[in-house]
Amino acid sequence: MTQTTSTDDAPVITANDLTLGTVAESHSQMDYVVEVYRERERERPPEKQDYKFGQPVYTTTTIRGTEYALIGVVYDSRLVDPDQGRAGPRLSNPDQELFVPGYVDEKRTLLGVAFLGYATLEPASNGSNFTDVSQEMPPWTLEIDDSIRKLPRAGFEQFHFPDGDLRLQYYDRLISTADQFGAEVTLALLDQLRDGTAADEELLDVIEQKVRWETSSDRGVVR
Amino acid sequence: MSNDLPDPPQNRNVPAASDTVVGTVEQPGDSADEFQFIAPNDIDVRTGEFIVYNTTVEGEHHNVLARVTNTEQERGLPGDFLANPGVDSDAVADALGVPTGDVELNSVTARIIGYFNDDMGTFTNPRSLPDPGSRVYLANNAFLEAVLPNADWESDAGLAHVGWLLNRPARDANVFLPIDEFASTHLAILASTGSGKSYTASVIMEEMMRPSSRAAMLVFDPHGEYDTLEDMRKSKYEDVFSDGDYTPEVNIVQPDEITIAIPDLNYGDLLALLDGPSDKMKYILQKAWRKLQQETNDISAHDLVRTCYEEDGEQSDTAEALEWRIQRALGRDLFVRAAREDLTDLVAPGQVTVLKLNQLSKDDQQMLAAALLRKLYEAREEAMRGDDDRLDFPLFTLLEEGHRFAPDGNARSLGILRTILSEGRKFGFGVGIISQRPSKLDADVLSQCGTQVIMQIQNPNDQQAIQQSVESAGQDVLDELPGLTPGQAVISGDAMNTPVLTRIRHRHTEHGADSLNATSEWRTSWETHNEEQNRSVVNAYDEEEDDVDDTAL
Repeated sequence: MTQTTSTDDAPVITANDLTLGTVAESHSQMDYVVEVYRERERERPPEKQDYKFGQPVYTTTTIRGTEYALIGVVYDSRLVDPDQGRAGPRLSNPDQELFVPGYVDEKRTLLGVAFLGYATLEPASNGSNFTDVSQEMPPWTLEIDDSIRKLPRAGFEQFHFPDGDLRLQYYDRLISTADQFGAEVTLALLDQLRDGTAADEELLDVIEQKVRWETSSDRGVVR
Repeated sequence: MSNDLPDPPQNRNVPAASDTVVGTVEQPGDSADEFQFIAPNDIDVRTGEFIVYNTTVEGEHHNVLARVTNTEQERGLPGDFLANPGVDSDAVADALGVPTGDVELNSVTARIIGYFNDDMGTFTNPRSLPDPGSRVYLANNAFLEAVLPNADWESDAGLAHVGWLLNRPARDANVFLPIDEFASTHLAILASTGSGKSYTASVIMEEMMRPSSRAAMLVFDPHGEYDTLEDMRKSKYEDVFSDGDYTPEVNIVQPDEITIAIPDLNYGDLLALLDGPSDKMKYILQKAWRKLQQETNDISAHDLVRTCYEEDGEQSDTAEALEWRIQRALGRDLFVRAAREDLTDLVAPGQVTVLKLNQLSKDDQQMLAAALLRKLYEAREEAMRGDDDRLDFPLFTLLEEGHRFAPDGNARSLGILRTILSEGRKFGFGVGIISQRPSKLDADVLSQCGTQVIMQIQNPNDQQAIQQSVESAGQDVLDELPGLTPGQAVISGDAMNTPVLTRIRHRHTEHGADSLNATSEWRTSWETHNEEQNRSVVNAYDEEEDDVDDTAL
């Protein structure tokens, strides 16, 4: 198993982790809406594959002097275009977007992000390590405009193998928060756990079976 | 073997509930006297266990005893978690954050027995179910010891310590059987072979011979299994069986010492012994028999033949035919001429007489039982009427292989057994029937046995016979029977206030009826036979090699 041990050489999160966007809204304690950065807003804007369905993400927050990482997953996305339907003549050419009416381009990609758990951050060279990983409900709220970043593989693994054994204790919370995509996002996470981790294949099979069966029967596919 | 002797409880003023709370009442059960309660998985409430709840009847608080009849899992790990036998279900539960361990809950069904009514000396059904939410306690050991046997504690009644409650840890709760109760209303020990019938019977006999009871007992032992009761007289069991001058007498009557007195037979017995007598023969025989009986108490086969000739003339063909038949039937060592006068060498207080019948034919065994039991019964009747004081003490007789003596059909001994079982209580004559085939027992005989010790029985016919003949054997008792293992028994009937699952205690004396070790006996026998054969045959093929006939058969 490539259990990520927190060594100074390989921090689980670094300052170089790609920032996907900022918090724009929340629906509940663990269910946030993240607005994805667009081109020209960042030096390194995220591309589509960076915020794909089931992408693990994190954000950091400081509570009473302690740094925490809140770990979540992209479970939904919405595209917003207030201009949609305005098919009339424009004042500008497509390459001169700055001059369209409304001054600002309001086309947006919004992500649904469910926060699954949290970990204490321990400074390491070039970044931070997770200690005390918890898959309980994150107790703190985020702020509007908090940056949401892409969680590196090492962080993903450490979050799921806090003491060497696979943990998916957020599972039922995720299913109910992600609602119609709950099963799919869980399966997407399971897929990522299969790749390269030493998770017990058979254990993952059992969990996958459970998820698939539960959703099938919930949706009336199987009765 | 153990010599620890528990003291019988002194009174019933003990708290009914123990400190252990086993669950909380959930709802009424399917039938009017059932309720269900929820018990966490870490508390072990097995079927047959006794529990207690509080209720108020007409303004009075009562602790009501109930028996657990069924346990079902109310909540456990989902089936999904168990999908792959190769994966530990706890690992799945851990991964998904489902708590494991003591999260399982059991829904337990219990049937109400009642609260103990001191005035009645038995249980009274409160006819009300416990309120949902009320607590259910494990019944107190001392309380169970005191209220389960239908015994009169105030009198100095003899109690047989037969074992311990099956569901409780070994030796925690003693089960006592009130001897007076089963000795007067009769006892049946029913179990399939190898379940410990004769062991249980020996335990009961040991208890009856202890100083507190000093029973007068007669055992019909067709297999010679009860020899070892003689050990009761050994000094190493002194503290169990002896008290002051008293040590139980054990009279093992060997097969060749057993006799039937011809005067003790009746005309019917005589007819049964004779080989197909004609009507005329019967007539002559009856006259001769009546005459002899009126004249003397000392009748030999020869006397009988002589009287037949006297009745029908010296030249009578009938008398001649009778002579042949009488000599054939009665001219054996088994029959003696003098009537048995002194019955106290056979039965006496503090004495157990074991008649080893293992060399007698089945018919002779039945005849012996008929003659002896009739004689004893008449003596008891006379004693109770005050005509004769030969047997002025109650008797208890135990019939091993009871289906031989009281079969479902015809046997010489059946009539007298039916009489004793139905009327013996008034005359202090108790019977214990031991049988492995309740379905082969006479239904009247079985139904008259007021107390039953029932052990493992799997045959459906036998179970049905028990259900039909034994009033207290409800469905919950029958359900237990196939699952019992040797040494475990349900004791029910008059002697108990409610059926009790019992682990039969160890015998003090050695057990004499162990199963034979067939394979080792076969091996030994084979070796002996083989050796004998080899001694006489020296490899026949070597010598006759040239003569082997190769022709196809």
